[in-house]
Amino acid sequence: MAQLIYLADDDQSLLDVFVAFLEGAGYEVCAFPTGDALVEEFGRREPDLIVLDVMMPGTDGLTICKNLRDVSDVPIIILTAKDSEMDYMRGLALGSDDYLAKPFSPSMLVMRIKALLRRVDMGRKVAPATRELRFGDIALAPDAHEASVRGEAIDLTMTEFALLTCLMGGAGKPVSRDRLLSEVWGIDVAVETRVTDETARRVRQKLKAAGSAVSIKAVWGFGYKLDDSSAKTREEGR
Amino acid sequence: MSWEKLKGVRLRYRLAISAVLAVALTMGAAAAVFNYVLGGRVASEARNAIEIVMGWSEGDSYDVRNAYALPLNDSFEIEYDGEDWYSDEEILLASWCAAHPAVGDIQRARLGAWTCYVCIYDLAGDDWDYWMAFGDDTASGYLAVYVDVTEEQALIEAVNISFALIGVIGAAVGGLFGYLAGKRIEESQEAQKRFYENMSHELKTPLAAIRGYAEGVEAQVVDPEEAARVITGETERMSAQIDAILNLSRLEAGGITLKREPLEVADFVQDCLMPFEGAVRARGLDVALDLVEGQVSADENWFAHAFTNVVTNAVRHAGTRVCVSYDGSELAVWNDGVVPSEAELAHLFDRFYAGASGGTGVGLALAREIVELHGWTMAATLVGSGLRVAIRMA
Repeated sequence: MAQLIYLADDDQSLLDVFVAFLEGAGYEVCAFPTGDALVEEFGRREPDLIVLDVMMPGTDGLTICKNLRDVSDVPIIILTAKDSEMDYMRGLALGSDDYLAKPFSPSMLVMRIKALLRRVDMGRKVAPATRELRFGDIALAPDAHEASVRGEAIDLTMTEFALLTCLMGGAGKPVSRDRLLSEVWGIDVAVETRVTDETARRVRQKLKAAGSAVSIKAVWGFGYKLDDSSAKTREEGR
Repeated sequence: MSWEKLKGVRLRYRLAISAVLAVALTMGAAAAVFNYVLGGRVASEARNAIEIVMGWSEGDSYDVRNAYALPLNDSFEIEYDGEDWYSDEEILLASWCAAHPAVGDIQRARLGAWTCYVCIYDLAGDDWDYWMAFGDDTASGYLAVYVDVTEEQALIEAVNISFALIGVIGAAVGGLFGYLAGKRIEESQEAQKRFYENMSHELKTPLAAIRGYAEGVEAQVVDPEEAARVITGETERMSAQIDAILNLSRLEAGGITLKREPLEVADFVQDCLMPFEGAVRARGLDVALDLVEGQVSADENWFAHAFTNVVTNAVRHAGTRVCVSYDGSELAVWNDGVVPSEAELAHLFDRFYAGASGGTGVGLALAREIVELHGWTMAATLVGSGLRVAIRMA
C-alpha cells in the first residue's frame, strides 16, 4: 500500500511540483494551502509523514508542528527560508524530525522523505533488547532511539541518530560519505548532495553543546569518523 | 544660473566650493566682529578722552588717553609755525580739518600712517571759559582736539591681515579637502551604481536563459530534457549568486560582528572540502593536502563561507589538480587548468568581473571581505601553470 504524505505550503506552484515528484516516487499525496487545513484533515486521517512550510497564513508551521507532536509521533519535515537557523532550532525543539532550507531541489525532498520513512520502518522492525552502542562518553539505545552524553540525554532527529549509529559502527575509523548516504538515506546512486555534510555538522554541534569529548572529524578522501579527544590526552599523559 | 544647473555640477566641486565659501565667510565674519569690537572700543575711549578734556563729561583726565590740542586759525591753518613746534602729523591734521570742517563732531582722521580721533572746536563759541590758559581774549579760530590711535589702528590692521591670510589658507585647505572628500564619495557612488548594474545583469542573464528554454519547451522547439538540464543549472547558479550577494550586503551594512573561536585549521579545511567529494570525483581531479597543525581565531561560519568560495572557484576551473596547503601562517589553494591572465589577476576580486576565463561573480569578492574582516589578507598570484589564492593569517 502506498504511503500517505501530507504537504502544506502557501505557494501553489511549489505545491504542484512537490506533488508531481512525490507521486512520481510512488507516494500518495495530499496538498494543503495552509497548515490549518492540514490539521483538519489530519483529524480525519493520519498520514505516514508530514511536510510543513514554516511561513504560512493562519497558524505558522512551527506551532502546527508542536501541536501535532503533542498528539502523534508522525515524522515531520519543516521547510524554512535559507540561513534561518532559528527556525531550524525551534523546529527541532518543537519536535520536527528534519528540515530543508528553500530553495532546494524537490528530488532532495524525496530523498529525505525516503530516509525518514525507512527509519520509521526499521524502528518498527528492530527487536526490543538491542545492544546499546557506546563510544567515548556517548551512548546510543537503538530501540528507544535515545542518545546520551555521560548519562545525560541529548535530542537527535531520526536522521541524525542514524548517522551517529553508522559512525559508531566505524568505531573511530572513517566511514565514507557514500556509505553514509546509502545506509542513512538509502541513496545508492552517486548524487551530488550535501546532506551528509550538513547532518554531520549538526550532530557535531549537538555533541559539542552537550560537552562531549567525542566529536565528528572529516577526513578528506575517506569520510567522517568519530574522534575521542579524551582518549588522546590519556595516551599523551602516559 | 538655475538650481538645475547647480545640481549638475559634480559633487567634488560643489563640496570644494562650499568649503571655500564656508571658511571665507567664517573668517570674514570673525574679522568683522573683531573690527567692530576692538575698533569700537578704541573709538569710545578716544571719544571719552576728548569729552573729558573738553569738559563735556565728568572724569579724571589722568585716567584716559592723552588728548592734544592743536590751535588753528579761521582758515584751519596753523598759526604758530615755528620750527619743529608742530609735528608732521599735526600739519597733516590741519589740512585734514580744513577738508572736514565738522565743528563739534568727533571724527576719525586717517592721515597716511597716522590715525587719530579729532574734534574741531570753534574758539568763538560760548563754552570757552575753560581755555583761558591761552591767554588770548580774542578767542577766534579753531582748536583741533585729537587722540592718537595709530598704534591700535596698526594692531587692527595686522590682525585683519592675519585673518585674511588664515582665511585664504583655510579656504584653500578646506577646498582641497572638500574636493578629495567629494571625489571619494563620487567614486563610492559610482562603485555602488556599477555593482547594482552588474548584479542586475548577473541575475537577469540566467533568468533570460530559463525563460527562453521554458518558452522553447512550450513552443515545442526545444528538447525538454535538455531544457530541464539548462534550467536546473541556471537556477543553481542564480541561487548561489543571490546567497553570495545577500551575504556581501549583510557584511557591508556593517551589522556583522564575528564570533571568534579557536579553530583547528587542518580540521576546518577537511570539513570544507567534504562537500566537494562528488564534484572532484566526477571531474577526475586530484586533490592534494599539505596541512600542518595549527589554530587560528575565526568565526567558523563566515570563514567557511569564504574558504568554500575559494575552493569552489578552484574546483570549477581546475584541469587536473587542486592543492590546499597550510604552513602555519598562510592557507593557500592552488589549481591548474583555466587560469586568469596577468591582466585579469588584478581584477579577480572585483565583484562580477567577467574575465575571458569566466566571471567569478561575487564569490571571491565576498571571500576577501570576510578574510579582511578577520584582520587577514587574501591575494592571488600565478604560480607554475596555475592560480594560487592565499589567505595570510599571521
